[in-house]
Amino acid sequence: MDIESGLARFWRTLRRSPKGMTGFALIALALGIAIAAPLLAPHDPSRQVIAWRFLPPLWEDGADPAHVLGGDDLGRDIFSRVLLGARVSIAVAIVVVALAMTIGSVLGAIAGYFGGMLDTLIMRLAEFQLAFPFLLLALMFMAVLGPGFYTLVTALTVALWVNFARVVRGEAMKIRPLEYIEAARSIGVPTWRIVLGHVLPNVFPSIVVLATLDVALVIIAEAALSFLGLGVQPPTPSWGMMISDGRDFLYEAPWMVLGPGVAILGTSIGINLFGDFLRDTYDPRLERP
Amino acid sequence: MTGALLELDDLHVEYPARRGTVRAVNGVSLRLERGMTLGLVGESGCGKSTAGQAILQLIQPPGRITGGRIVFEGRDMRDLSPEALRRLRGDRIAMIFQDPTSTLNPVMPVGAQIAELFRWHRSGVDGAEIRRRVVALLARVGIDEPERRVRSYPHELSGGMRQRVVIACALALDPALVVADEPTTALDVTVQAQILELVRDLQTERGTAVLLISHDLGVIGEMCDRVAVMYAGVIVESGAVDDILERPRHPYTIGLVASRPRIGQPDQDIRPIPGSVPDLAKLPTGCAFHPRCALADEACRNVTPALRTIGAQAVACHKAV
Repeated sequence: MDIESGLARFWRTLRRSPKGMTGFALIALALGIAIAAPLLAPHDPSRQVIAWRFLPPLWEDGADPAHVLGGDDLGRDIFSRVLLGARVSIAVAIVVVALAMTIGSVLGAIAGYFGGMLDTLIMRLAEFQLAFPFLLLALMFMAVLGPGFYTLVTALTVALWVNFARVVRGEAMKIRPLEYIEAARSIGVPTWRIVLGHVLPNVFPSIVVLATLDVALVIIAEAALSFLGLGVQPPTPSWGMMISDGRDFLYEAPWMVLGPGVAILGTSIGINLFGDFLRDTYDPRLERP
Repeated sequence: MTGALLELDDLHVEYPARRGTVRAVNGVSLRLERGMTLGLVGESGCGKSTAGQAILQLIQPPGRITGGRIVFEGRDMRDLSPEALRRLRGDRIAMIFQDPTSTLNPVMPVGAQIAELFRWHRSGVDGAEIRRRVVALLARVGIDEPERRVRSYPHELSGGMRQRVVIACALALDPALVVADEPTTALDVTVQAQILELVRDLQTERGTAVLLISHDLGVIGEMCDRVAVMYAGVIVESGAVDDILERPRHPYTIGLVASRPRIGQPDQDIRPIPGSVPDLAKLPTGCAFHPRCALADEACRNVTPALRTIGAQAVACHKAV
């Protein structure tokens, strides 16, 4: 037991959990695809060929075995675009959720722990942000910063930190009067360390669950923003943009949304399952079977 | 000059409440010498825990210390900067809380919680040395397999074990004073005795002074050199523990001692004190105990009695002889 490293123990627990393993496998698949996309893609995702236009996928009549998921309205290979699209979608999701989680949790913990003026200041800011229509906000960012990956990340982070701040604030207010916080103060632990090292870890299970939910949300929101021309610019593919494009041809060519749709679904389920597994394993307050 | 280790002088703590200001501590003065044990005894809600928290400046807002001095090792705790106070807490002065289940952080291994003390007070000590000292401490407070237990979470330990961890935390850096607020109340009777013995052993070994806050005269009699009896935010009687338990002079102390069951005297009635503790927001005039006191007369209803010396103890009562 003692010589086993933390990582080895983690791996052993993971292998025993079907939920964790499924989530892990799906995430690994998505990440693997994102990293190796240029090698895996059978075609150039930007190449337009008239003959591939609305080419049906394998399971429909008139399919071309070289194009597993068929072609889109501009005659591009959908399978290659799904593979390449993983890069933008997953990168945006990970960066945005990580940023929003860090900023939101720290601000929420500060607001909940200290209360008073700090709390008022932070929470009024959050409410202002909530009351402000998200699309309007995104358009403002586009106007100021110009469209692109970083604008997308900034706009989504600004929209999302509030979720974390509100949850963490509530939990921090609940934890602050507890005796173990007073005990930490009574042995001279500095205040910043109490907030970050004693309060935040107790909120972590809620944050993890929220983060896994938000990853799926971000992938979808990226679609909406890319559709408006705020996000990554064509011809770079992203799952969200592919769904936006396919929406106009839902009756004629439903396979245009199928590939990116399944990709988003699979990634979201994977992250949710893995998040659940993490919470089950690392929250010592839950009884273990 | 060798002053007392801790001296409280006319301490006042108040909590604003809708029904008026709650005067939880209403002019308490105490002295505690190095290495000695002082018991602070009284019913629930008499302000004894508040007084203990006030010593470490742990009163939670909106409550606040409104008057008096808390002199520890020659310095008034109320004058210290937040950083000076932080350095003092855990290092020179520590606290043991009532319920070990809620005193330990549920998501932090117990070893890491003890390690916090070294981390914030002994910055020169490296990780391996901290780990070695934490293991040694756990072994000293009687925890089996300390090498394994440093990584245990609080829920993996029994109540008694948790309180041993809390004691290890409090005594890790050899503080001069430990404020123990009902350290055994949340524990089984059999475990209580073990924990008290542990505290006493450690105290003798390290010369720590203890302020023991308890409602249990049995515990006080066992552990303390001196005792102060608190009622409605004030000290009504204080003296050597044997004097107080054998010859109580304040009617409240007499009632407390009489209401204690004793082994070996089955025929003796347990006589409870009639009535209950007054509302600290609406204290009676004169002596706070007069509505429950059989001896009360006009003077008791109007004039607040001061502590005066009778025999070997100090008593705040007009009638005491």
